[in-house]
Amino acid sequence: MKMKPIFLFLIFAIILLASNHFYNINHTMVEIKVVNTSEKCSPEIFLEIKRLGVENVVTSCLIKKDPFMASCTSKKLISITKLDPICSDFSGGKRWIVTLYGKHTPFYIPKIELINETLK
Amino acid sequence: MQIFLTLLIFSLLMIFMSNALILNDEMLIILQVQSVGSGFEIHPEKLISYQGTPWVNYGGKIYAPFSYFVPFLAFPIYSLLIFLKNHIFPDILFFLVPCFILLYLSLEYRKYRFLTSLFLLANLLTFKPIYRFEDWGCLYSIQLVNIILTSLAAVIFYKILRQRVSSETALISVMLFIFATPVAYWTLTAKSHSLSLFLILMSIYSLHKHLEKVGLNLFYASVFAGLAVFARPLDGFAISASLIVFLFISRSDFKRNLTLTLLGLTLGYLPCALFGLMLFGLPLPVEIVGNMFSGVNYVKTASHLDILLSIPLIFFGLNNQTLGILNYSPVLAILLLPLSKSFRKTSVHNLTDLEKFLVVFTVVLFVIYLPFLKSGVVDTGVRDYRFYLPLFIPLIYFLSRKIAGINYNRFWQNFALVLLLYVLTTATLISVFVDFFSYLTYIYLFLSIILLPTLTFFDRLNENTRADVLSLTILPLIFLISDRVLGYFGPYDIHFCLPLLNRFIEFLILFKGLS
Repeated sequence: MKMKPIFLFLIFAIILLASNHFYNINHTMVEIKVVNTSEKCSPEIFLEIKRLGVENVVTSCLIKKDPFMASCTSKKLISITKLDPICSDFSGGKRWIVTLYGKHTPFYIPKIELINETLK
Repeated sequence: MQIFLTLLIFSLLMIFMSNALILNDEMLIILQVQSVGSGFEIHPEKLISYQGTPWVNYGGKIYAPFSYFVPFLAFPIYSLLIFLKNHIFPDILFFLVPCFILLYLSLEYRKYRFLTSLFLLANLLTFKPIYRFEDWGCLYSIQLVNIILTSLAAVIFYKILRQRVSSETALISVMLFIFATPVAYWTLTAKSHSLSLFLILMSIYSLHKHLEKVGLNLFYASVFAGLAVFARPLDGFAISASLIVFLFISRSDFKRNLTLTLLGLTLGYLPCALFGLMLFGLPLPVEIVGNMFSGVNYVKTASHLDILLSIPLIFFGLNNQTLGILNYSPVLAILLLPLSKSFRKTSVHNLTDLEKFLVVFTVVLFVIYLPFLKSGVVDTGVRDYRFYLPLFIPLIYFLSRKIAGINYNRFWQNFALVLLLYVLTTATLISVFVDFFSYLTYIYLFLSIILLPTLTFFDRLNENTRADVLSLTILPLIFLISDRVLGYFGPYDIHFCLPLLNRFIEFLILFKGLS
């Protein structure tokens, strides 16, 4: 009977020491698809979060092409978010930037920034 | 039995541990832990979205207006966790430890051994390390300190109760003290309530020893009471004042006892005075300096009329979002009839010395906090009168004899089932219908009102029904779970430390999002 707690402690120690090999911190994978583009409108975009990771919830996002800027929010754990096109009179800049903000820690807001190369 | 109780309460509390930030104050307390290694000055600008609670600005430095006692105790654990982070994912410990404790406790029973092994395996398979553990390390270390203190407080309380009732009844009384009152809820936050309860219980236990056998126990009781001022000043004043009042009532060996008490109180208060002197040049608790001298006034006294009007609501009803003590902890209704009978028969003289002390402590604590309840509790929108947490010590003490003779086996079986039922139902309802949260206080009030009449006439029930009804009184678990599940919908990266519970809630939110 006295062996059992020792045996338990050994299992505990093995799991603890080996845990770094079992687990890792994944980063979120996001796929972006531009559905519609127009010179005077923001693109209609689908954001699909392919894999959950450290920035596991996209709390908000920002889509920007100087001087245009639009924001969106999402509270889903895995989200397929569609950003509707917003049209306005703007000349258009060179690059689209989509920034996704993840769940906060007390000291940090995780951020994924995607520039126009991704927006193909 | 005492080791079993400590391990059981420790593991149960760890199972409900999360990184949810319930109060804004907790942000500053996180900074307080970090500040212990660097001169106690905090830097609120480091926090990304802190608002509301003020801080003390003294000599060009910023200090949090809360006790530094728990941050002191949490700092070594925080340092250890950060050290461990270089080698392992430290959050794995938060579920491995309780799972292995439960496995250890179930070694004797084949059926439970299989269940706890399965529980461990399921958690291992669903574990996901938290991102930026170092940012949450302070909060986890404070909660760990609180869990350890509450577990120790439970054992001290068990030892006190054991002199009055059987070990089975004492065990159930202690479980009710933790889970049928707001004690578990506040243990799993960054506030100092657990430390205060532990010191008050140590003080009461030492007094109890003194009443059995005169020695230096009264001195120890006074040291713990003086120390309690460092944890929560008014809790400390209440227990200290109660000790002095009790000496005047008991009058045995008055001069010696008074000298011992004053010496003990002075010695106990010394760390708090030295700390105040070091930071502000005043031998006062940080809260008092913050509240009275920094011009912040974050807790104000209410008018006499407000105090008078609020008294009935403290016991029964709803004031803003704050439930009355009886509504929050319907188990206390068991005391209603015996209390009314004792008033009629004026049986105060039949009380033992310890019971007299507990009555004095109840009255002193109730009166001391009355002027601060409005701005400190009701206006902050919390659900219980958290300032009155130490009141549950005398109340559960008196209640313990009333629950003797119930069907103990039936109680423990029901306790496990009701615990699962409350946790899973609350988690499901809040995750899937988040709007349900806004009605939760009213639903809770309704449930407790249903329970109140049955509990009032508890004596008249048979032993099986008493066990059934008593297990239902762990109703406060609903708020413990709901407030933490709500964190999943906020901007912070909140997770229960138990992977199975965490994944269950994430699954429900995902399920809701897809449907």
